[in-house]
Amino acid sequence: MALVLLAPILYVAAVVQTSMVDLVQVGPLAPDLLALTAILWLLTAAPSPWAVLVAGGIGLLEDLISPGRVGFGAISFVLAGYAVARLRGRFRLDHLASRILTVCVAVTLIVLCVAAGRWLCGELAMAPGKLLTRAVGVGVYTAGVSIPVAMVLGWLGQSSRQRERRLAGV
Amino acid sequence: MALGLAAAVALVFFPERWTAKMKTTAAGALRPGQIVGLSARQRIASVVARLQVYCDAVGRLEQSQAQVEKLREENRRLADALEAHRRHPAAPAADALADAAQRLLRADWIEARVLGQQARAFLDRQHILDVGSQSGVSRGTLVLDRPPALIDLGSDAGVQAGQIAASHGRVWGKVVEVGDCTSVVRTVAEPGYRDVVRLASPNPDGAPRLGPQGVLEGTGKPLARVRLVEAAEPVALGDFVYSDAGKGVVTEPLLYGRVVRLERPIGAAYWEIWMEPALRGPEPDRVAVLRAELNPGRTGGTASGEAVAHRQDAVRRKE
Repeated sequence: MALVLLAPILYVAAVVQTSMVDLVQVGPLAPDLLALTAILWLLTAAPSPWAVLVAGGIGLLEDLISPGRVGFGAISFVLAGYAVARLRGRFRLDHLASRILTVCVAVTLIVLCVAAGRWLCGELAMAPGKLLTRAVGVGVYTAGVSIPVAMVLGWLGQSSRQRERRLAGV
Repeated sequence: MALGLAAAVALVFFPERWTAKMKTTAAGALRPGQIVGLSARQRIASVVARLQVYCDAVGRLEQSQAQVEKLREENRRLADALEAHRRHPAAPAADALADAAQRLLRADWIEARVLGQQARAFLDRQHILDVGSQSGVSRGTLVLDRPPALIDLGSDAGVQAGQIAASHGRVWGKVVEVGDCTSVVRTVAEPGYRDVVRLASPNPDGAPRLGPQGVLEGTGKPLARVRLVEAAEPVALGDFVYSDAGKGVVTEPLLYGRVVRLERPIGAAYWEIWMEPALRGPEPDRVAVLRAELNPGRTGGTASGEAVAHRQDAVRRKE
């Protein structure tokens, strides 16, 4: 995914997350669209050390559009980005199921990390068990939302690989 | 990665007023997108609402069309049935013929014309009173004449007092006075009219369910009264009132009218029932006078019996 495409996608995701989240909210749970964008970016972009920094930037954007102290989002996105980049180096994460599983785990960790930081700072007064449950819920919901997006990205990646093979054959 | 992590950790310790400015800038940058998103959402909501209204209207229209089609079909069916009835009056079935052959009495309908004003005036000019000076009637004595319902049949056609005059299965009245060539008919609503009737509740599946008996009385008003129906009997508005006089003579009971008003005073032994005559409005042009006569098939008229049997065979062959 090119950086040129990433900027408008991030803008739309931020707008939806700030003004239309009630459309996709199920009880207290809503998908974390910025985290989803960051993880899919990490799974589809060319492997690069800058990818982690881009994920950190997306985390900063999430900090800026959310109430509370700035920085926890950036930290958690950088850590999750690093973990996804390492995983991608070891395993092939091209399969749809593996991508969705990665999104689920990574988003859960991001949400949990941010919530834990805010809880430590006293910005959140919620039981740790409830925080964990909510983080898992957001992770699962975001993974569900990521299924069609991951499918489309998978088809696009497959067709581009076929084109590259055809060009290499010529 | 380390650089990014360090920068992120440093952000946590930034003073709030610095991060507040950054947040304000981010919110301002998102504002146009949010406005566009909200307006798009409102438009979509209004379009969805319009579509909902349209879908509802389409649903109602479909229901109405189905109803109209059903009513048209019903009208067509009724028109066909009416036309068929007009062209081919119902042929008597074998059972009906057998029943007619076994009856002791049969109905003989004598068709009569109801006389209008001009006919009455003509007859009045020909009229000679059957009283004279011996009865104390002298020149100049006032003759009161209430214009009665008059038909153009009298004793010459075998009409007798008490016979029922009906039109299309609905009772118009009873013959009360018989002349040589004309007869006076007292209509159902006229005062003094009395007859034994039977109430029947409508039955959508077939013939009406017969109910209690009563006595019909004319009141001189548009509605006649049905008396002596016990309060314990089931009676309802819309019930039919049939004549019991033709029982054993006519195959189908003669209709008097329908119950239109009903009262049961507390403690009363009988219903207070008002009936609207089935034959109301202008008097009919033609009526038929019901005359009971002995069935020749039962009283040794072999020729008639053979004719009935022959007709039964013909009907069976047709079936």
